[in-house]
Amino acid sequence: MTGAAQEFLDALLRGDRRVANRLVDSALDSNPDLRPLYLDILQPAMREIGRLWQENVISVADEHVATAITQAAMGRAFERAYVWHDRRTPTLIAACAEDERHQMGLRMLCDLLELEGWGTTYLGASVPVESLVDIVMKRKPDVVAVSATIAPNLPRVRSAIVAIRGSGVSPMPLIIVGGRAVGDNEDLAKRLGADLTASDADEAVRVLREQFAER
Amino acid sequence: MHDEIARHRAAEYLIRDKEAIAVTVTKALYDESPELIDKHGERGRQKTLQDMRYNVEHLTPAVDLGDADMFAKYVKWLDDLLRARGVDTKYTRRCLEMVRDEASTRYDADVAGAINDIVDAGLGQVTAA
Repeated sequence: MTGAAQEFLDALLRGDRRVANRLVDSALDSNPDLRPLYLDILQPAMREIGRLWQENVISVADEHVATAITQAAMGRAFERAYVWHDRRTPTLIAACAEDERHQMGLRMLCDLLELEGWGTTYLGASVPVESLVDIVMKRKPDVVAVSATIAPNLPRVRSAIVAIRGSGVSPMPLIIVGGRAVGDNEDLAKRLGADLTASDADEAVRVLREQFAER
Repeated sequence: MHDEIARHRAAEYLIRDKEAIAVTVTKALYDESPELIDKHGERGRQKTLQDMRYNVEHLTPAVDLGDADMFAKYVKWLDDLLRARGVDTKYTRRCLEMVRDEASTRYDADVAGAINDIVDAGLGQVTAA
């Protein structure tokens, strides 16, 4: 972990959102790109929070404090980094599989795509399959991203994809899957019914950029 | 590697029988190791039951997809988590061995084989070489 990530982690462990926000501000002062802030500071710090919970060093409540502070920090960072685009395409809808609560990676993906001019709709944690299909039918996005962090939710990723493919939405969106339970396992992604996969938000942006550069 | 049909059937049975397997294995573990009640109390038993449900939930997609590595990683993660909370690896190993026995008792050879291929990969993580 970098020094900045460690400082951010320390702020999370103290539950100190002011320091967390100050660290975000100074990171963006020295580099206005959101990508290194998200992927080299916030994400490693939150992974370490998960590990500390596993190691019984911190409680579930501590982990929720860290999550809330990091999500607020992302909101602040995004608003600072965002510049208005006239263009709002391609479009993407992002949802965690039903019951999946780990949502930060997906939010990172949406924020990074917005900065590239995409129009994204972020649905966050545990989206019931019927509501996901409803909003896909209404908005007809170019891409649907479905995420699962823990393996028991993989069948729910598959159900969501089956439901979207069976919905008759036209044109059919590209479907990308990700999250820790999927990683960048292309074979698994295929068996889940997805078109694409990526190991993290940054790679997902690259994969999607390539797809739409060709069109 | 067992064929896809056996694996899908096995996953369906695991979803259907999750609660029964969790209850049976928890009871068998506590019958065999009464010291667990002395050490962790009734709350520990309830946690074990909940953990057994999670174990079956993690086992199911690994069996369905024939992905032994997925379950092996989970067992490693679980063992680290439980050891940090004072639960010795031998209990995690016994739970998995009991799941193995349950599968062999409950299901036909194809289904039991599809399940136990994956359980064995998990056992590999908690068995001294």
